Amino acid sequence: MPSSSYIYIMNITNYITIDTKNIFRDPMLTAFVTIVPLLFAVTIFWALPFGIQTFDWLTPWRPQVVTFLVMQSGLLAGAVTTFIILEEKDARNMQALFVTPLQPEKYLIFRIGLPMIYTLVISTVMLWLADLHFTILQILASATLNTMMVPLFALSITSIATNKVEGLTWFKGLNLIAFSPVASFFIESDWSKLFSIIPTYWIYQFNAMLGSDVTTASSVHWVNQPIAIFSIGFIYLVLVNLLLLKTFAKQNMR
Amino acid sequence: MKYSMNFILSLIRATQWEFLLLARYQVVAMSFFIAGVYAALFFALDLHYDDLIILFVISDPVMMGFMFTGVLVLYDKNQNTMQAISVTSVNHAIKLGARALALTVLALICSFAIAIAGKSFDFNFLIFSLAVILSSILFYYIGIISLIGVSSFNGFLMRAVVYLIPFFIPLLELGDVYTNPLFYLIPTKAVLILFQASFESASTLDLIYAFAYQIILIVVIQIYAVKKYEKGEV
Repeated sequence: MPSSSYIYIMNITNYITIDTKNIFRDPMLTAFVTIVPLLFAVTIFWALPFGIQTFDWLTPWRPQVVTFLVMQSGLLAGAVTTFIILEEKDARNMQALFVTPLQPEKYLIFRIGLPMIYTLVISTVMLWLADLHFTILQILASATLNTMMVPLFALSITSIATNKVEGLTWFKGLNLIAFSPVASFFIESDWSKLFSIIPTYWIYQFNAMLGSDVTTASSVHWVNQPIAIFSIGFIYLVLVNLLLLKTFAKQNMR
Repeated sequence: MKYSMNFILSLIRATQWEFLLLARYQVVAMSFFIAGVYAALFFALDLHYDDLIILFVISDPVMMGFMFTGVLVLYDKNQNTMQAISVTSVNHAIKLGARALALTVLALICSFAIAIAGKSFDFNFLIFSLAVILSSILFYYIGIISLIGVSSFNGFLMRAVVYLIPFFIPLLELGDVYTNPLFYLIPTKAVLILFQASFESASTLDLIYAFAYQIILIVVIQIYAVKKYEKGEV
């Protein structure tokens, strides 16, 4: 008699295998999985040094620029996940799925798990290529924070939007909000801390603190230890994601 | 005469309807919000970089047509809107044209908000308006063509990446990053010339090229897009 944890692991493995097959069946998604990482690698390895060489005023802002670029991988994976979920909502696949023993929370874990693994790998490679002099542990920590943007994006949009058009609309808005904590580096008063309510603030702060030669105004004030920034950011992202997971489950309960 | 009056009236009515749909899908509110954030950024940081204004206007309000046409057409397909339209007097050219106009009006409002925040009133309103109108309509119809052979939204998202990369290459001229005479072959170069001409002077030859290239492309792509739309290939 197999144990319940064995069945659970087998279920996850099955869903991931099915999802992987689905990705490679769709030429567009195959392109996404194969070409997009290459584009990101080219951007970070060749375009970024070229950009910084051209605009030398960008040099002290290198960690922020890298954070922005790395974050795009998470946002793109989040967007693809969002539209898969919204498509399933539109096609009423979810109603069919939820009459099976599959619970909404588990469905989401399966649906979001693969893009998260994908983002973790891409972010790690990008941060390594960016040559910010991070240790491997710091790269993994930063990549972990970035990976948590996938469920944050997917869950927040699918909770608000009722169809794909609204999904795209919210995607545009949230993309801008995700970028907005960059402004905190230009505001020298305590008002800059207001941006800490936006989860991406912690990712920008963590990378800036680790990678900046020039100590930025925001990083000298508040919590000076990168480990503290990482911990607060990680806990905050987990809590927000859990809250969104509950909201999604509630909305899609039978 | 009577036919063209009817056509215009149908187009206006359809445009109003499309605008209502955009408002219902929160596209209008979100576009105003995004334009407001950009405008606030220019005010708060006292930025006066023409290139930055052009970059924001092209990458957001102008490209809105490209992105939203994809999702709206695919959504229409899923909702069987095409079948419903085929039993009304609205033809496909009007349907597509009305959506182009609605998105262009929105792009125009948002672009002006960004430009006024960054430049005050110190720019050529006429050329700027024409730049937004032509580029918005052009990218809208390019967006429709990019849908050929695409059935899912994620497919469109991937296709958009492939389409947009070459279109964005001439933007490297902003900030003098890189320039190449071959950029004149890419429509975005024509778009760029018009926007730059609205902020500073441009040569007559460049202006003729920018207007002529965009108008010819719009006509050709519009005819092709409507044909494909009628056949149900997009």
